[in-house]
Amino acid sequence: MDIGITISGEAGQGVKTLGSLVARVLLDRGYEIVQDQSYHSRIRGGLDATTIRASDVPHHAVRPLIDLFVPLASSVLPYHRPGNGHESELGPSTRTLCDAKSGIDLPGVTQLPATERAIALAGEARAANVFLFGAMCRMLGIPLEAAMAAAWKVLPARILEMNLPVLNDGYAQPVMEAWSLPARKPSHHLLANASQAIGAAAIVAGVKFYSGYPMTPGSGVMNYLAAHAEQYGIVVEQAEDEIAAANMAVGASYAGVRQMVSTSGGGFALMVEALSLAAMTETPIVIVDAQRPAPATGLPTRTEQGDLWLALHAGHGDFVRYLCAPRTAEDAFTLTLKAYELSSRYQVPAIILADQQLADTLVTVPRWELGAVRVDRHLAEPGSYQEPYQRYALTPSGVSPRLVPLQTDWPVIVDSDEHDEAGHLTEDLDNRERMVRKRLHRQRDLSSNVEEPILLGNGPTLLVGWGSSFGALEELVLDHPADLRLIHFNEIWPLRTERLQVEMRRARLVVAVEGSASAQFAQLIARETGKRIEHAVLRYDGRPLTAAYVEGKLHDLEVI
Amino acid sequence: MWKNGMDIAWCPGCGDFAVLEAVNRILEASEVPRNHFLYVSGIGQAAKLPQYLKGVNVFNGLHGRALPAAQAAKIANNDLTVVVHSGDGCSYGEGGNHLLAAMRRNVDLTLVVHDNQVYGLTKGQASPTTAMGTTTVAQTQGVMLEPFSPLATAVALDCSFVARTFVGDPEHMAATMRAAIRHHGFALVDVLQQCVTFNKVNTFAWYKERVQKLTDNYDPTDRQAAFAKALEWGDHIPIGILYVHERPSYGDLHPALHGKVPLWQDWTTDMARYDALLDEMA
Repeated sequence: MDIGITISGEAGQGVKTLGSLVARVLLDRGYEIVQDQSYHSRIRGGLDATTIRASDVPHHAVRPLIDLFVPLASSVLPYHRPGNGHESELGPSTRTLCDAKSGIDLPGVTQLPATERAIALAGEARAANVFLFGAMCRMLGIPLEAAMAAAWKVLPARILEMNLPVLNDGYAQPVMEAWSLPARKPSHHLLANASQAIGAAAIVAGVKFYSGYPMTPGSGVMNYLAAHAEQYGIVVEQAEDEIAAANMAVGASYAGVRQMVSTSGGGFALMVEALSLAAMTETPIVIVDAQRPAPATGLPTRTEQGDLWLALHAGHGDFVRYLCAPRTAEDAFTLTLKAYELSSRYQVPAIILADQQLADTLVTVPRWELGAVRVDRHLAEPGSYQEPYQRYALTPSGVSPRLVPLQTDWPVIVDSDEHDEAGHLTEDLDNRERMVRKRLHRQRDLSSNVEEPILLGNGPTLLVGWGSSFGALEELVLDHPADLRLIHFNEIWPLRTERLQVEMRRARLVVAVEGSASAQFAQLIARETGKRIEHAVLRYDGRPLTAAYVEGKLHDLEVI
Repeated sequence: MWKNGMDIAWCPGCGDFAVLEAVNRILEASEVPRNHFLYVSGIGQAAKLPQYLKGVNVFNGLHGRALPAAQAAKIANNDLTVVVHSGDGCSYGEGGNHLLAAMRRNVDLTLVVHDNQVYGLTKGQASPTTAMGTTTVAQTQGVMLEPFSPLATAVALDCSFVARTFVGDPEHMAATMRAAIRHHGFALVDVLQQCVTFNKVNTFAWYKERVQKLTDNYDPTDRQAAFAKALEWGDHIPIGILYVHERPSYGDLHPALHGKVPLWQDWTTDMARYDALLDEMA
């Protein structure tokens, strides 16, 4: 069982709500869900599409082929034509369900009087989507009671009460039951995107201060924290710009509060000097960069993995950072907690590289085990530091005991200038060398916390991937386990290469698969190992890597 | 130059010494313990002042970016008395957007701007307050930009406390800075001072001849009058507390801060309270 349901309309037509209804009912039936969002950078019109993939085994990537298509406007049809390659595509077996009013005529189309009945029964044309939801459930072989239960969860009660007759009427239409989606064993899984997973992990990590400036697709984390600000006593401050947001992050963390910043590449670029400040003052900060295609404004609502070099090299001077790139929403939660832990333990900046695909794609995830989570700001305990207190006291590990103001009576002195152990500005050159070594020395212990990349499949062709490409590559390799082997990274810096080097030696062919034009990760590997990866499958049209996309390119290379 | 056992990086005769003296007087007389003070600065000669203080917390950040860090530190720990010292370039030039936002945000802290109408540490370029026509190493044909009026801008933005003082009147300077620190809300103090090395026009004597204290009957709550006063510049330069608008600070308005323990102390390792986050994803 693996079905792709695409709802597509213009911005403002209610694609999101209809998508939420369908995802909800399928989740309730016990199916594994992947629901992506594809939208244009505008408030009305354009394209606004969501594809819900429901299956009985977990997936982490979208299904590019449409089984059930529900277009809300005829203007969206060209985006989904076969071979388009960007949006989910119509195929020979696609069934289409639409409002008769839209005048859409496709092979296998079922036109229903959605708007007409919505007006007749609820006096409201917008209830047409509820009608379509009813008809979709019928077509999918889902009982009316299940459709109702989902609608109660998704829609405000006031609206649903008005629209119940419309839902019933939609369900009662003479449509063919084309599928059967029996209730499966309840999975107790959650439905979350990476923005929510990162936001929830930040709250669990004890974040009380968020500073940011709105930028798609990084705003999802801000919106999540803002929605929970009251419940958890969080200050969410929309700064005047990203420079302020990042400097606020350093100021808040200096004063002892766990913070969060989220942005996209253009905003991250503005934060770079403050990243260097965090490094120099040894102040832990965590920043999320949800990547989108660049340079400059690029494609604001699309996805790419093109900020790897930026995140890796951002900031003037030599300093240690922790850089991770979640594979999935599930992974995003775990890695966010790890980013806080390592950032605090080693007093270094941590960057989480997500992207639009991860940030916006809802996926079923097993419930995270909160009981196993340990949070620690790593503030110095009494007796663990020498008196008089010196913020940058030299230690064998390079990590100085960290106090925050008013934690004790000792003042805490930090400086962006080169400073001595007490935090005082000095131009003494021997001190300079000592301090540089102290700061960089922490990378050794930081590295020991980084996990090896994971491996899948047993084939002679080795695919090398990182971050959000995991879902697509996992699916592909599980389909071709005798041809392909996958090595996949979610921790980028410090980079562990032992397992990679073994695998690269063993492989007949090595192919880098990345969502960027320059194979940035492959070039990082070349720098770190001295071994160039000769082949690459690169996607940079703004849409996520899918198993089908990579498979097509591997056919060209004649490896499958 | 060595003073009080410290290697101070200012030129002999710099106006910064008088500001440092005033800050030390304030700290000595304050009922707030020194370690409750957080001195924040950007980059520049003025921004080195916190490094020359004893017993206070210091955050010496980036050029132009003192205010974002200072506001966040105050939000994080309301028990801190936060004072920012930086120059006219740092505060009015590089940090201009942050200044506008800080006035609107009204976090309870004090910004003291050492305003000598020139860039000192980078050796003599024009600052936002340099007079038009002034020639410098960078503006070789004279400054062509209108000077920035910090006080008029502050009154226009309804900044909750707006004042100007002069290093040549130590009593006035200390009293004005003390009033700013005691004020609840964002306070701006523009300190006129000489740059003995790079500003040969706006010298100590030049300011001394022109500054005029506000009279006792001046009403700093009258915004229109304050705006008119803020525009006065030239033969007569008013000093004193030009404008005060007592109003709730950011911390008074924010539900996570008002009447709560300082934000940084709101910390738990009890994971049970987060189950609700996962429940709502189910």
